[in-house]
Amino acid sequence: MRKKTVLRLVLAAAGVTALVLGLVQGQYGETLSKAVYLCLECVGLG
Amino acid sequence: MDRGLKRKCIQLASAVLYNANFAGFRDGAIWQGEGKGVCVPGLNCYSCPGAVGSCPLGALQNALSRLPEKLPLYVGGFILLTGLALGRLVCGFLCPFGLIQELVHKLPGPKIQKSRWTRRLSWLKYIVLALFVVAIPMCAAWARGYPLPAFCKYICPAGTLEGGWPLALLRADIRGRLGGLFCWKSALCVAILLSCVFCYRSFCRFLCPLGAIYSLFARVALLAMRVDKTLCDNCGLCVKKCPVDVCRVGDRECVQCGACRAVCPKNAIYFGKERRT
Amino acid sequence: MKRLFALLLAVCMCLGIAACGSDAEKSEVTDYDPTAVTPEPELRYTDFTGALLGGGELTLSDYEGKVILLNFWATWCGPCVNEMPAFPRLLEKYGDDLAIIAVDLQEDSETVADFIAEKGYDFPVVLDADGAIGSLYPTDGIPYTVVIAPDGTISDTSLGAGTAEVMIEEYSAMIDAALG
Repeated sequence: MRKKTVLRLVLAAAGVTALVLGLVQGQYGETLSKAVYLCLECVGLG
Repeated sequence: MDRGLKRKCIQLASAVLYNANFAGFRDGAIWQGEGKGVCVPGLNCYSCPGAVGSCPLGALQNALSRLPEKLPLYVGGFILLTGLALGRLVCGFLCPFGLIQELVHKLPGPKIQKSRWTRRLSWLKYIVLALFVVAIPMCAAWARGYPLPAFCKYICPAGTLEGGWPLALLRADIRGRLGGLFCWKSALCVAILLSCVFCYRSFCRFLCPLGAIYSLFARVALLAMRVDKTLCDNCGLCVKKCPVDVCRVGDRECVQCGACRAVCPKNAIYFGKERRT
Repeated sequence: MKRLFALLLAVCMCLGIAACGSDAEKSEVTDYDPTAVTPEPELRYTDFTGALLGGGELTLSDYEGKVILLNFWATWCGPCVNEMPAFPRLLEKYGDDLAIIAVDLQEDSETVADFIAEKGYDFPVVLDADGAIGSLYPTDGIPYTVVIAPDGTISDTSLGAGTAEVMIEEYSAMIDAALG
């Protein structure tokens, strides 16, 4: 049980760190820019 | 309220919430608000006219295309945290395409029972993940200089059902661009939906790369179906009655639907965080 | 449980209504039906001034008198990138009768600069970092190209793209029609 808890804590820390770093790097804007423009290839219309 | 119905309500609510831009279906246009950079947990095409969030799988493919210059931190962090918190609970409760498959399965028709073959076939989704979500997007980006979201482009039935078909219906300019790719994706989507009549959640079990990703968190997910070993007598009814290819409750194939909890004669199956025993 | 379900339903409806409301404010200009195959006659373009890649500004109306291919694109969009080799060839074919303006949607200037430098394109590229220019036209689908006739009316639009070879033929037909 302890190993699982440690693993969860490590994964949680990694997830939060990655998310925050990604936001700092402006990756939210990159994700947004792809989501708000319909790339026809992506929906099979091409 | 019956637990099964409760789960359906949550599935329906999540489907409506992810696609709350109802005006998009009226106008044949996608939502372009600032909030659309937030990923939803389940498979929901961001090119659906109703979509108000990003698809995590689409966002991941695009982000992976930027390797090695940029690591996919934002999307990766989101998926990591969602997997840790919920695992495949997303599949059972928070995925619109999962709901659609379950509803389609209710249509009359012969039902294919799970077997060791379906268990073996369940590994296919990891190949789909490795090839179409990771390898091809990365390699194509290196070769071409721009992304190729291969799963979105060649496979995703949610994209066809939620994005491709509505936009083709609503917009004459898009209809003018339909070609072989649209035909392929439409045929594949129809085949997958048809297969769901006979085989419970066939896409989730055999093809869905997002389910494959969340399945990796089966052992550590905070909220999940669990067995109280002090009550369990190992009768095996849970695995027998489970509609998917589990070897035990809560393993990587478990979509957290709760069918096992409904049949356990010892009430040994519970949902939530681990109990201290 | 019934109350929770009712609450969830109410939240969904509020979100839906809110989404409808916010869409009503969008795009008060260039109000042609983007889903129509050809635009209505006599519809004029919407002017804008935008930041040019490499410095300076570009105003669309400065190019009135020529046929203008106003192209909305992004470096991450496959069909956009695929059709771009058509642009220098069209410029070579039509000379001073044609202007091509490529508006990049919501990307950082470094990404766009690297792309353009790698490809060696020399037609003007406008950086629409905040999406303000894109919102003047129905650009939810890209690549989106507006063909503006010399008199300032919108003579054609094109959504999506094939290969550069295919697009040279398609755009040539549109440009010829605009030139009359």
